[in-house]
Amino acid sequence: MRKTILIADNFEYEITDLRKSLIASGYEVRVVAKPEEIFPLIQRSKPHLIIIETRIPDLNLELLIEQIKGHSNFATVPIALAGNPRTVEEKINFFNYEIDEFFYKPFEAEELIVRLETLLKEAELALEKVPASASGFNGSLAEMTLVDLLQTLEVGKKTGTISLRKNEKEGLTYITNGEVRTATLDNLEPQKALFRMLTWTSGSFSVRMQQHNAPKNISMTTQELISEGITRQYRWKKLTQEMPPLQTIAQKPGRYFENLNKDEFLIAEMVDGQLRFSDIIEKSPFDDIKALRILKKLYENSVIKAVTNSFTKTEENAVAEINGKNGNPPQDDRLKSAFAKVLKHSEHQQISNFERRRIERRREDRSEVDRRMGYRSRQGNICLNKSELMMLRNKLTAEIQQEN
Amino acid sequence: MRIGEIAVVSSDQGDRGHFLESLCDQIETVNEDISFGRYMINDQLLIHFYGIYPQEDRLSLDLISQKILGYIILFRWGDVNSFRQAQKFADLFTSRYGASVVIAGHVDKNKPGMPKEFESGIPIDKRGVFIFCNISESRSVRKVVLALVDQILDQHNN
Repeated sequence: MRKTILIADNFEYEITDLRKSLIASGYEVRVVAKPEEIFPLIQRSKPHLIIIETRIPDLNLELLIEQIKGHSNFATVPIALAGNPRTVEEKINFFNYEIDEFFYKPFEAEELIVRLETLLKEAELALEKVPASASGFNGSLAEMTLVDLLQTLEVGKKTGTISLRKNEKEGLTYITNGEVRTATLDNLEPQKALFRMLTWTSGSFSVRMQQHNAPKNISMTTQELISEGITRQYRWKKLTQEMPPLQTIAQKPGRYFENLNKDEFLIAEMVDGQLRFSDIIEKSPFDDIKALRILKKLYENSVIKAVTNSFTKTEENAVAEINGKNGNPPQDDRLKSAFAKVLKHSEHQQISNFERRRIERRREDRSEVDRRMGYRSRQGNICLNKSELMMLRNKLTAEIQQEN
Repeated sequence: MRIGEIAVVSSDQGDRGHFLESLCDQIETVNEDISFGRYMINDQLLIHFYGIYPQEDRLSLDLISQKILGYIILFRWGDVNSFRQAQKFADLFTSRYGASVVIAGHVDKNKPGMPKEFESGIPIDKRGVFIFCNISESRSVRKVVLALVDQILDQHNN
């Protein structure tokens, strides 16, 4: 049975090529230009996907999307918006709607069809599990850490929850009007839970803008937490240099320790040849940074050592592959890079395939958006586009002129 | 909320602090190696300014360079050592990070004023520009940032 795509767009010349390409690809295409005819056509044609141009005159976009999502027959139909937002406000507003995609015009029909097909496949998978509807966004902690997210929500005085996932752990942070109320992770007390999540630079996040009744358990202001987070990330990175990956199992050559202080002794006693470095940090009674510092000292003084073949089967295969290439045991740095690839892969698998494809697609789309907007892709993750740079320029110029 | 980030590099913590104080709406010093200030454009756009002096290991640079728009390198006009450091950083940022750079020579207010022709800066490379400034003067500091923004815009146009 052919799938139906409904396009609501009053710029006929902009969608002619797209329409032809979709029909050639085996889709049935319905086009509507007048806002009052959109929903009736949706009800008659029962499309599998809806594309709406944002600049249709007299169209109340928010109301239309609410109408579609509020109808039981169409709640799970993917909605994509199409257009060319010029201001930051416009773009940010679109992310408050319950939409699945945004296509910049002019369309590149071939690429757009691939993205539409992905949307349709994901919608089929999603029918097995109806997603919760709350506005928000998802992403990777490699792109935005909890510090970045707190900064964003604090400046915008937003209310919502931030969910972080790393390996098999999930932590939540509750924000009200930009202020952190509390955080949960395993059974840790709220501040410790938050401090731990502040150091996470891999895994995924999900932000949901929704009301909540979380109590106020963290007394530090968000700005203080952001400062703390930047410092902790810096120290964590510095400490984990010259150490084996934290997923390695730790063991000690002998039971007798000399010249250890009370805290070092306690950490050394936790090393049982079963726990990984990361497990010891998490289970210790100390702050994570302190525990890591002690572990590093014990490692450097050879009180403990890393077990070199303490990997999962997948990790073992990766190391064997490197070994096999030259027949010799790998150098430490090559082993570390094998770890890095495999651990990154393992973390990726923790997210469901649906979520992973969504995250990857959004990442690709951002770089494609960057290319279309005319600025080069950077090594960096956050880049201002031309209009934002012009806003900055205008503000500076105005302030300079005021002072003249 | 969109956030852009700019680094202000100088070996003198006081100079970094003065520069940020002359510009930012809000200052927080994180530790002796990193200062941090916010400059609000509107309720959707914010610029973070990081005052840094990266040491040999360049950890602080690597930590923040992933998201940086460009670098402002401060040095004291008349201080040869300061100028040599600035040159070193300018080479580093343009070659390693491919970033836009403004080298700003701080002229003390007690010294004779700079010629007007210098106020808009002197292009020294397709990625860099040289400009005089007074880090304690709000207008002068904004001109430095403006020179950087123009550099970035020029690069986008090319």
